[in-house]
Amino acid sequence: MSDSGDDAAWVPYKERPEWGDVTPVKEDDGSNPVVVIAYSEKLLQLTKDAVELNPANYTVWQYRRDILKALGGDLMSELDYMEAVIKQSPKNYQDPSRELELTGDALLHDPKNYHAWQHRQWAMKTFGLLTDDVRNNSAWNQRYFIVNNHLGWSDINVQKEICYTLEKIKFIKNNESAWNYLRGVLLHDKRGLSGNAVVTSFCEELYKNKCRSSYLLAFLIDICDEALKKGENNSLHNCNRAMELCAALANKYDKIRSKYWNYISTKFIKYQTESESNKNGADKLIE
Amino acid sequence: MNFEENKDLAHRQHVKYFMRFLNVLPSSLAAHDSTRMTIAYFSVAGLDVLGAISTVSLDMRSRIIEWIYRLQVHPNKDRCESDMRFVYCAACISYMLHDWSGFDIDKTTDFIINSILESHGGTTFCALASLSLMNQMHKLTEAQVEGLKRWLMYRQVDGFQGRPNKPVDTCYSFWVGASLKILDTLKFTNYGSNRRYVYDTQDTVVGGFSKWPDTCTDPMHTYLGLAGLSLIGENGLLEIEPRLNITKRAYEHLKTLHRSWDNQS
Repeated sequence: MSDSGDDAAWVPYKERPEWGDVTPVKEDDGSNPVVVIAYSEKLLQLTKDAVELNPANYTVWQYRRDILKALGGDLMSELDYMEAVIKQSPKNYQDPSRELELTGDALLHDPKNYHAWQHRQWAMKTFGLLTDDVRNNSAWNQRYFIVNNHLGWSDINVQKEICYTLEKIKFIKNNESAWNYLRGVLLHDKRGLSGNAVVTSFCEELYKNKCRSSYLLAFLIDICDEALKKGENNSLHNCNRAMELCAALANKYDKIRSKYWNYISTKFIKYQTESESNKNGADKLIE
Repeated sequence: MNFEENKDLAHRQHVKYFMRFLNVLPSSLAAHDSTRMTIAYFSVAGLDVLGAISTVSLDMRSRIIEWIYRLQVHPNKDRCESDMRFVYCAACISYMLHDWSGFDIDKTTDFIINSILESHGGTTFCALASLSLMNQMHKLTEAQVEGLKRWLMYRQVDGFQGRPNKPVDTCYSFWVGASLKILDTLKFTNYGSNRRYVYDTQDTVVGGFSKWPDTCTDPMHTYLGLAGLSLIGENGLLEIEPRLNITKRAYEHLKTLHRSWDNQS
């Protein structure tokens, strides 16, 4: 159980002189407060042994994190320690959230900390979260995390990310992760979902070339919706187009969600009736 | 309720399955030592949704209750894990105790809405259920609500997945199903496909459900599979209150308790 793996060298805590002042408490879950009362290097050492007994025990790791914070301990060496434990017992480590929490803590203090970034990348690769697979949703989320917390959403970065994403969509059109990322990036574009000409002409080009991915059609519906709300509807993006697209999804391209697309369609019907009655009202006023 | 009328549901086996978990866990599950209470929760909740809570003897009930009280620790206010799962737990506890005095609703609402977590079926459920329990759903903009509905609707493949491009898993029939139910949008999903997938993961011989067909069952997937089926009105199961993830029966009991507390004060 000791670090060296040499069981003969293991000295139980009750036989260690420096632990003479601690009264052991029988396992009763009531022993936990002993661990939280005062943080010390000693306790950090204790959690290390607890981790080795059962690395899957979430609470022990949380205590370590609390102790480290209270002591102002070195998060980087903790990351190295985690890495070592994971390498020893990969089977017990299905949960990458601890790694991501700790690197998140470290990056909050020092966004340019190379070691933390490197460790984050390592953890993501180890847990299979980060691959070159464009369908990997977590890889897209990691990309979002980096731009959001590290590079920032300047106009040029927004454009760069849009171009990157459109390239990937061109390659695999039916990849929801990439379409969702595109929506995420456009949240940072002042012109919104419908106002970026590069995006709208890319989508219309795909549509013209017979692409009928449900993500493309759904995106076009949302462009119509936003254009209508802004009063910027045009020959391509309007109520009728949106309803046509809803019908195509409900009846042909996305049948599992047919009820949903019919529901979305009714919203456009309502919108159309409302705008017509407004128009009639306006006409009457003119008369 | 006539439990015999649903031939697809291995009702009797599932009851036995949960009862086994409430008794003794095999030593191969030693690594789950720290999650024994969770296993107990899924087993009790599972027996409830099966309408079989009376299977637990009075003696066993008092043992479970005593054990849980014994495990109670008094929280240290300095320790606080900020994580959507704990927000949800705190919201449930406050709701059940009918006392929000230990809870900063405004701050929590801000935390939830500003969270830029990786979108995930489980986290989304915790966030939505918490907002709804706190009566703060109106803090979401229309665009946010419609975006959430869309994202959640797209989780249906035949059963539901937790994230885009991930395999379908029985438990998301609950996490995503309940989220959609909270948003009054579950009715637009395809019940038939969802139902078929969940039943494909049922072990009709020894009871239990697993995440994928022909894999190992566990109490979590068993309870959540049943709860997911209940959300779409499956025969032979009690109705579920999606926000608290308990049966309507238990929810009504809770409401009765709240009323009697109100009258006392």
